[in-house]
Amino acid sequence: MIEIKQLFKRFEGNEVLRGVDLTIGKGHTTAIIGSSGSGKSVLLKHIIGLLKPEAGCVFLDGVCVTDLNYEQLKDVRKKMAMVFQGAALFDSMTIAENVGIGLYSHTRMSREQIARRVTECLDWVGLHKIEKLSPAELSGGMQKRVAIARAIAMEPEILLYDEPTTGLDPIRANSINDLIVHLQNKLDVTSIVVTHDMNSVERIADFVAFLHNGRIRFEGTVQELRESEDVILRNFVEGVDEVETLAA
Amino acid sequence: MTLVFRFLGQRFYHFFYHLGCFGDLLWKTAKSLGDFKIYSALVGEQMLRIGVQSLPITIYIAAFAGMVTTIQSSENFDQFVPAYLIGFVVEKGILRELSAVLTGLVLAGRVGASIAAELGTMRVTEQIDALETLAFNPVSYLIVPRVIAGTLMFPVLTIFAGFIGVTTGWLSAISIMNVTTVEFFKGAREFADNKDFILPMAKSFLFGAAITLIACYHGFNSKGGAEGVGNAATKAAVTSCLMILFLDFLIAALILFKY
Repeated sequence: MIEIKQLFKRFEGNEVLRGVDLTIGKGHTTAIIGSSGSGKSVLLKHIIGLLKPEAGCVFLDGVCVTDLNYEQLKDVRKKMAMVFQGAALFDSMTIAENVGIGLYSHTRMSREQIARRVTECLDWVGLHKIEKLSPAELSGGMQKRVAIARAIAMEPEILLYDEPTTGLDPIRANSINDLIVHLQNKLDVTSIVVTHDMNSVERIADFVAFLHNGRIRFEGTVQELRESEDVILRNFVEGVDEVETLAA
Repeated sequence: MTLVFRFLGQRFYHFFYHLGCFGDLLWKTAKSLGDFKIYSALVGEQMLRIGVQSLPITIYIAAFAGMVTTIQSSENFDQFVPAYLIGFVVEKGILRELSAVLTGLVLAGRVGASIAAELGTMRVTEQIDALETLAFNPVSYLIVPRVIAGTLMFPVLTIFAGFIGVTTGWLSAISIMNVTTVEFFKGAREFADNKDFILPMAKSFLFGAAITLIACYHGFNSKGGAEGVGNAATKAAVTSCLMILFLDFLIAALILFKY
């Protein structure tokens, strides 16, 4: 279980997180929604320890991740994996090296075993015979799939997705959504998906958290989100500008 | 007046801020030298990129430095200065100063900017974050191999530069001056000492470490997309050049005056 308590973060005087409290249950998919620049990705980076907060803590199974030193954090990170918004594949490596990079360094698997695992992970995300290509030879959607394959290669317990459908056409976006659901069912991991795509939320999420003005404004199931009468949440879900609502 | 003080204050603050951050990176790099398993496989590739691929430009520069040294010095040799002393001028000028400094200045642009741009792109496209999430230490994986390769390959390039520079200097001397090969090398040998080897080696060793570290620092801390990467590459090249001139003075003063 992941518990976030009173998390504060600011960048050069700009307060992004202002006391975030959130609990994320094991084995479910939780979507963190919010408008652009609301701090969703910042929150995700705190969960995996890429950023240190000014105050507050992220507890992973009772351990405060934000207080860990680098070596301890490395052990925690082996249980997690993150899919970045822009895929963040390593340009200088082939697809096989990108997917297998963690296996080469953190396991005692032989080269043949790693090659088999890489092919298996690529099969899971619907990609075949691309091991020898470089990331630049793939489309944006394929790069995201490879990034997901890289994330699942080490069999993590927690998968973090940073806007996995951003920049993709609706068909590709839906195939990524279906893939997230498929992997969730197959691997039984805890998934946290940062998105502002409500179609994604409907398709993949068990629970939803709405980040607004640096705090969690809503936390509940997708059904509860639909039934919520909070004007700001409704405006976000329906894509209505707050200024327009106030004027009306 | 207040604006001037504010400007100076900001400059001082930024200088010491970056100095502190650079010191931190230096410390992390030193600590990461223990991660031999991670970086050992990557050093060879970096030696190829930093060293072997820089060889043509190093040879080109050294060749012209040797020829120009001879041609410009030849004007001052007349009946009062024995012509064979051109060997001394070329040997001292090329080996002690130009081989290391010219190579360093050119490679500050070629290697420094290239490292800063590469790491800067990795930073802005979140590849460095991705490495961290995969439980890799990015300093061991990205910085240490480059610094080791730079520190080992710069002295090798400097040896090449010294050899090529003296050779082209000699060829120019026997072509345009009334000097024989025997006279040229007599002049070169007469005043040669072990500092002619120690100085360029010490300089190139430090230049290699300084250029790669500075470039890695700027690349690692780049922000803001393509513009940020461009700024990082420019800062890496400029700061490395300034550092080379400072280190050149420091090492020369230390070795020549102390020993």
